[in-house]
Amino acid sequence: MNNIQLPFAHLNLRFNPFGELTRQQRAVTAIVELEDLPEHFSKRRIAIQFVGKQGRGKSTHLIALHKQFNNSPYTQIYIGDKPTFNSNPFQFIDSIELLPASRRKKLYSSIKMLAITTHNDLTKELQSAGFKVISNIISVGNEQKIKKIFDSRIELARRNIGSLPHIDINTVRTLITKFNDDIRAMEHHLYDVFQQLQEIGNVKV
Amino acid sequence: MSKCDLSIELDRPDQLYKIGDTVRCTVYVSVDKNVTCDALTITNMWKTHGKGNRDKETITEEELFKGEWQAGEYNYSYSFELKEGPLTYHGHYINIDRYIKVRADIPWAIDPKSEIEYIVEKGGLSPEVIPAADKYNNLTANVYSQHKHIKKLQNMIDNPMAIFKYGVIASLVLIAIGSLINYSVFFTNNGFGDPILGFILIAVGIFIGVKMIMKNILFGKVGRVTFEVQPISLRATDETEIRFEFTPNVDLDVNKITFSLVGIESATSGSGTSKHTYTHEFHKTECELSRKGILMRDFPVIERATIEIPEDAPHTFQAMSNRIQWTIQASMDIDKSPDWNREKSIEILI
Repeated sequence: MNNIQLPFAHLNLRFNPFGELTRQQRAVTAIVELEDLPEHFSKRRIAIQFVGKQGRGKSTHLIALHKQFNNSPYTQIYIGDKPTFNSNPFQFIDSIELLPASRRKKLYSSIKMLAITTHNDLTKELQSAGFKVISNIISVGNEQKIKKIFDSRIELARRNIGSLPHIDINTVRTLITKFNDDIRAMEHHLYDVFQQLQEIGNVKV
Repeated sequence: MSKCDLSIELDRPDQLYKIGDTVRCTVYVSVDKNVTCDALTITNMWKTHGKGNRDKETITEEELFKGEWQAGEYNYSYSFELKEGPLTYHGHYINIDRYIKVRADIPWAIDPKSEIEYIVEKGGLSPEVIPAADKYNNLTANVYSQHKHIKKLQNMIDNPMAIFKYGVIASLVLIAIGSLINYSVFFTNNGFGDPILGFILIAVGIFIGVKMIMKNILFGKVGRVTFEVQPISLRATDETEIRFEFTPNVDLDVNKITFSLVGIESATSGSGTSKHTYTHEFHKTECELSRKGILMRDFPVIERATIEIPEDAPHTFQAMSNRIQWTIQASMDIDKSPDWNREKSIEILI
C-alpha cells in the first residue's frame, strides 16, 4: 500500500525551500538593498542595469524592484525567444543581452525608462541611446546576508508554527568555501541536502 | 481597515483521497467589521514544486458567495467528485500536489486567501471515471507544440539513414565553416573570425563525422531492426510486449541483448542563460534476453519479451517545465563495436 504523506511535513515545510520559486515568491524572499533606486524613476530616460555573473541574484534584484512598479510589464527573455514588447514606456527586462543588438536599439528608441539584468555591462549602448545609466554590480559575498537569504527561503516554505531546519553561520561559511558567492550553486546543493533531510535540526552540508 | 480571515478544513483529517472519492470541505470566514465581498472563489488545482519552474493548472473554480458580510463568523460547504488527475507525486526533482484555494475579492484591500493541500491516490476507478482521470497523462499533447517535435525526433531516431544523412551534413558544414575561417585568417589580408574557433569547428565536425561513420558501419552490420512495443498506453501492473527482430549482415559477436523499462523525471529550471534541465532516473527494470554468443549472418534473430509495469509506477505527466516519462529501451552490446541502442516512449495511465 502506498504511503504518501503531505510533502516535507516531517520538516514542518510545505516544499523544498531550495527548489525553484515563482516570481511572486522570489519577490517575497528577496534580501536586496535597492536603496534609492526606485526614486530615480521619477526622472526621464533612466536605465538601471543589474550586472553580474550567473547565480549572483541579478534577477532577484530586478524582481524586487519590479514589485514596487508592478503595473509595468516584466519580460523574461530565454535563449531563442523573440519577445514582443507593448507600448508601455517603462519596461523591466530580464536577460536583455539575449536580444540581438539591433532589436535592443529599436527597443531603446521606444521607451523612456528601463530596468534590466545583463551579464555584460551595456552602459555604452544605453548612453548612446540617450539613457542616464545606473549600474549595479551584483555579488553577494557577505555571509550574514547569505544566511538571511536562506532563512527567508526556509521561512517561506514553513508549514506550521514550530521549529524548522536551521542553517547556521558555520554551514554558510562552508558553502562559501565551496561555491564562492554563487548563491544559485549553493541553493542547488542545499536542494539535494533538503531532499535527504530526515528530521528538523541543524543542516549539515 | 476590516480584518477578514479565511481558512479551509477538509472532511478527512489525513487529507487523503482516491480517484472516485468525493472531497468535502468547509470554508470558514471570520470578519471583524462589515465588509463587501465581490466574490468568494474556491479553486481546485494542481501545482508542481521542486527543481523545475513551477507548473500549475486550475481544475475547477466556483463562486461560493457574493455580497455583504456583517461582523461575525461564516462557513460555506463545498464538495466535488475526484475524477481528474494528476495523482499526488513526490519524487526527487518533481513533486505534484493538489490544492484547494479560497480567495475573497474585497474592494480596495489586499484579498485574503487560504490554501490547503490534499493527497490524491489511485483508487477504485469506475469505468466512466477513467477518461477524465487520464486527462493529465496527455496534458500537453494538445496544449504544447513541443510534443509534436518529440514525435518528429522519435521518427527520425527510428530511421538510422536520416540520422546518418543529417549527421554527415552537419559534420561537413562545420568543417567547411571552420576551414573558411582559418583560410581567411591565415591566407588572406582581411581575415575574419578567431582561428581557435575555426579549429574547434573543424574538430567538432570531424568528431561528428567519425561518429556517423561508426554508426553507419554498425547499421551495416546489424541490418534493419524491427523494434516494436505494444501496447504503448497502459496502466500499472499491465504488461507490454516487445518485439525485436533483425537479420545480421555479418556474424555478430554479441555480449548481451537487453530490454529496459526506464522512468525519468525531467525538470527545467532557471531563466535566460542559466536555464537548465535536470533529469533523474527513478526506475529501471532490466531484462536480459540473450547471453554472449555469435549471431550468424543471414539468420533472423527474433526476440520477444513482456515487461510488467510496477504497481507503484507513477503515471506519465507532461507539463511545460516538469515531465515524468517512461521508455522501453533496447540495447545490444556488440563486441569490438559501438553498442546498438534504441528507445520507444510509452504512456502509463492513471
